[in-house]
Order: sequence, then structure tokens, then C-alpha cells
Amino acid sequence: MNIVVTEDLTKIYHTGMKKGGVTALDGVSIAIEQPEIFGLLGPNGAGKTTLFKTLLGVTQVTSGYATIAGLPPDNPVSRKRVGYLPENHRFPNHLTGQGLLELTGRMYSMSRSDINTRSKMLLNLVGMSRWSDARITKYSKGMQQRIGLAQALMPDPEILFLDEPTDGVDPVGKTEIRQVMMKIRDEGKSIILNSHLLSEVESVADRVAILSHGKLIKIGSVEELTTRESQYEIEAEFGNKLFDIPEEVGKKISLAMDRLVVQLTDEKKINWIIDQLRLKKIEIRSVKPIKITLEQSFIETLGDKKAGQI
Amino acid sequence: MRGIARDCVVEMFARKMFWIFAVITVIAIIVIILSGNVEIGGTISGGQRMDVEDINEMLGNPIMRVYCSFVSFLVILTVLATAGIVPGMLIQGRAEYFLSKPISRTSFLLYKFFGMWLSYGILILICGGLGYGVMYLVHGVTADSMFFLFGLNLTSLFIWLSITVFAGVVFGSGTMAIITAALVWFAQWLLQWHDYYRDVIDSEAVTGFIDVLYYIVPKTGELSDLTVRLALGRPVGDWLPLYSSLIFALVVLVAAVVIFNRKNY
Repeated sequence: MNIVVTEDLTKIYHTGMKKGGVTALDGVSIAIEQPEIFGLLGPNGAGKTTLFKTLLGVTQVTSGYATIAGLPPDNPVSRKRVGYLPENHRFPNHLTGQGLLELTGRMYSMSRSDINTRSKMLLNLVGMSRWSDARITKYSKGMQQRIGLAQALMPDPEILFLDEPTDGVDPVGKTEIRQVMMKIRDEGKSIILNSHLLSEVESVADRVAILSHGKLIKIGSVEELTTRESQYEIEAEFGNKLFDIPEEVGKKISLAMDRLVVQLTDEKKINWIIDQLRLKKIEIRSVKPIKITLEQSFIETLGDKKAGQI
Repeated sequence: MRGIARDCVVEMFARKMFWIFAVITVIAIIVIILSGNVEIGGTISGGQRMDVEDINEMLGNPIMRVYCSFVSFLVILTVLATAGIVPGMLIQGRAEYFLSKPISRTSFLLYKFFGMWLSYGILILICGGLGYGVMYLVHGVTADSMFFLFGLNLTSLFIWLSITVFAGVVFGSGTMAIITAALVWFAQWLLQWHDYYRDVIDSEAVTGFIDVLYYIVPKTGELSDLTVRLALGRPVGDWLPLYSSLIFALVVLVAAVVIFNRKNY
């Protein structure tokens, strides 16, 4: 089931500084399933936060179409089961941590008893029970992130929008937030995660989309994005035996320390390589697809996009 | 009102506004108490001696005038104290928090507006009520028109809040909201003599334009005069300042809602 759908979503800011306005989102089409953790990646100004704001009705859609749980963003009911942790948030200064959760609960029309029960549970979950009566202005950056996460979880959301959730949080806190995210996914809910920490996205996300200059340039599972297409590393006892690969099969990228890295013209050609190695009586120890980190994939994707533009 | 109105009360206490109002009320009460000890007297040309009763007859009860000024000051103080609230809610990082909740923008702005009006209005009633109580106990001053006095001051607060909320939405700045309110006050002060401008300006078009402006711009100055007249038990001939100011406030409030609904944050 798709809980968030966008089709050709475009957002142009008319600032008066640039003729025709600034295009923050340019025909973005995505579908986010339930449950999943969906990572949004992109350089600064790629349109990630604008996508969040557009989906949440904070910013108006210029053209295209978007729905949350089947409802358009300008319908407030679409946000009934949505939690949002904004980037660089500045919650009302006059509130305490507990006060923020109470106000949030009231804005979601929660009953008093639900607000009490849930705020107590969430303060405990994010490790803020001790400081719940202190003003938010007294909190450190990490504490503000924790209380921000608690307010986002207040309505027991079906979908959670997290914009840089671990920004300023210590390593232990980061792990805890990661665990919270996975728990939410395991409960059958969805998270859209916007983070500059690609290792974090890689460790929790099921699927990832890469945005650049407002355009969606790549979308896929983390597995797909971190696997080099048709590249394999074969570990075998080559010794002094020669092993050539014809052009129609692929090409040898490197051979050193009994490790052969090949680029195939087709995934299926790996079987031909294995057959040939056996024919030559070369003992195969392992055959595995070449894996890269999400960070490498991200940089390569942006590099390809830049090259394409040139 | 989904906690937004309640939040106005929480914010009022957190910003220590309650204490500022309390201090001003105490000062006003002291002034009201001491007013009874002031010897008012004088001589008019011709050598006739005037005592406090004569002056009361001519000017109205001076204690009541002090009291009216005190309540009006509370209204001004509220306008200054609340001018930054709406723009403060719409700054980057905070607007996202409020606007991502399942409340329409129209409801959000109106809840906030009425929350401010009610919470500060009640505070004005409490402070004003205390002042009135002291005035009654110390000087035995009573006024049947107290209901109107409070009613008109709350109406005046409604008008000023609609202006500051509108400016807050349009400019996103508390300072600009105060400047806008000050400009409107200055305009209505200038326009209250619109009839006299006919004597000095020849152009029919210009005087016609001034007349139109007069009917459009809220007349809170005239509303204050009207309040004093009511408090002193004098008849009110023309209710136009009240009606036209209220219409202006409602139009401005609707405009604020329309603009707010179209803005990107």
C-alpha cells in the first residue's frame, strides 16, 4: 500500500529575485509504501526539505499531484496521523518539554488521558523524563532533537517525516534514534528520512531516492544502489594461469592477489566465467557482486548527473 | 480551540506579562487612592472661586478619567505585548511545527487571534475590576456604564489586535506590526478633524478622499472619547466610530486569513 504518492510534483518559489522564480521541485514522482523507511538524499538545495514541506501543507504545490493516505496536502485531515520533526526547528520558547508534548497532543485533538499517557511514555523513550519540566530554551541541541522526536511521535503516526533527526545528537543518542526508527517500521509504519549522514540512511533505509536541483535522479532499494551493476569480484587460485575474457562477455578490471574484478556486459555472463574457470581447473573460493557504500553511490550518481549536464 | 488558545495563557504567564499587568494595576490603584487627597481648586477670570464639585461638573469625575486612562493603557500595553506573537509563530523552524499539524490555517490563525483577545481581555477585566473595586471602596464612585466601558475597551483591543495580526502575517515581523498599528493610530488621529480640512483645502477631490479615508480607517481615538462619555454617564450621539471600526477590523482579519492561506513557509 502506498501511503505517500507524488506525481510530477513541482514547486516554484516566486521570490522576485529571479525571473520565472526558483524551481525547488521539478516533476518529482515517488510512491512510498507502508511499512518502509524511505531515505531522501541530495546535496544542499536539492529540494528535500521543500518536498517535506509540500507534502505537509507548509508550502503550496505549484503543479502536479501529491497525497498522504489518499488525501491532498491542503486537506488538514491528511496530517491527522503524520508526525514531523523539522530541520533546525525552533519550538515555542515559552514551553517546557512536557508543555510542548501537551500542546502537540491538543493540536491533534487527543484526549487529556491519552496526552498524559503518551507524553510520559515518549519522554521515557527519548530519555528526557528528567528534564521534562525545564524550558526548551535551556536544552542542548541534542536534547532539543530528542524532544523534537518525541513531539513527532506524539500522535502515534502512521507516517513520520524526519528531517536530520540525529543532527547534534551524541553517538549513543544516534543509535537510540536509529533503534526507534526501526521499531516504528517493524510496527508497520513508514518513515521518510532526510539526512546528510549517508551511513545512517544506509543502515536503516529500505529504499532511497536521490534528488538534485529539484529533480529525482535515482530511486531504488539500498541493495540496488550499493551494488555496482554487473561487476563481480572472483577469488580463486589463479597462480600463473592465464585467463582472458572476450569482449562480448565483459572486461577484466583488475587481477591481483588472486582476486579478479570483472565488468560484465550482462549479469548472466557470470556463469560463462565460472564455467571457464572450472575448465581451466582454477579453484574458485568465492564469487560476489561488487558492493559500494551508499556514499560512493551518491557521489557517483551526482557525478554522472553533472557529467550529463556538461 | 485545540490548545492554541490555552497556549496564549501559558505564554502570557511565561513572558511574565501577568506580573507587568499586576504592577501597573498596583500603581493605578495607588494613583486612584491618592486622587482623593488632591485638592482641586482654582479661580476663573472674573474672580469667581471654583471648587472640586464645580470642576467635576464641568469636566466630569477626575478619578473616573484617571480610571479610564488606566484601562486604555492596559489595552495599549496588550497591543505592544502581543504584536510579536503571530510573527513569532511563523518564523522558520517554528512555522513548520505549527502548520504541519492537522488544523487548517484559517482555524489556526483565528484560534490564535481569539486566544490572545480572550486571555488578555480577561486579564484587563481582572485588573480593571480591581481598580474599579478600589475606586468604589475608597471614593464611593459607581458607574452604571461600567459594562460599556469594559465592552468598548475590549472592542478597541479587538480592532488593534486585528491590525497587528494582519501586519504580522503580511510582514512576518513584530516590529512592523507595532509600526503599522502606530501608523493607523496616527492616520485616525489626523482624520478625526476631517471636517476642518474643508476650510483649508480647496480641492473637492482631496477633501472627498479624506472623507472616504475617515470612514475606512478605524476610529479608536473617538472610541476612547465615547468610552469616557459613557463612563461619565453622558449621552452618546453617534455610534459610527464603533460600527465603522468594527467593520474595518473584520475586513482586516479576513484579509489576514486569506493572505495566510496563500503564503509559503
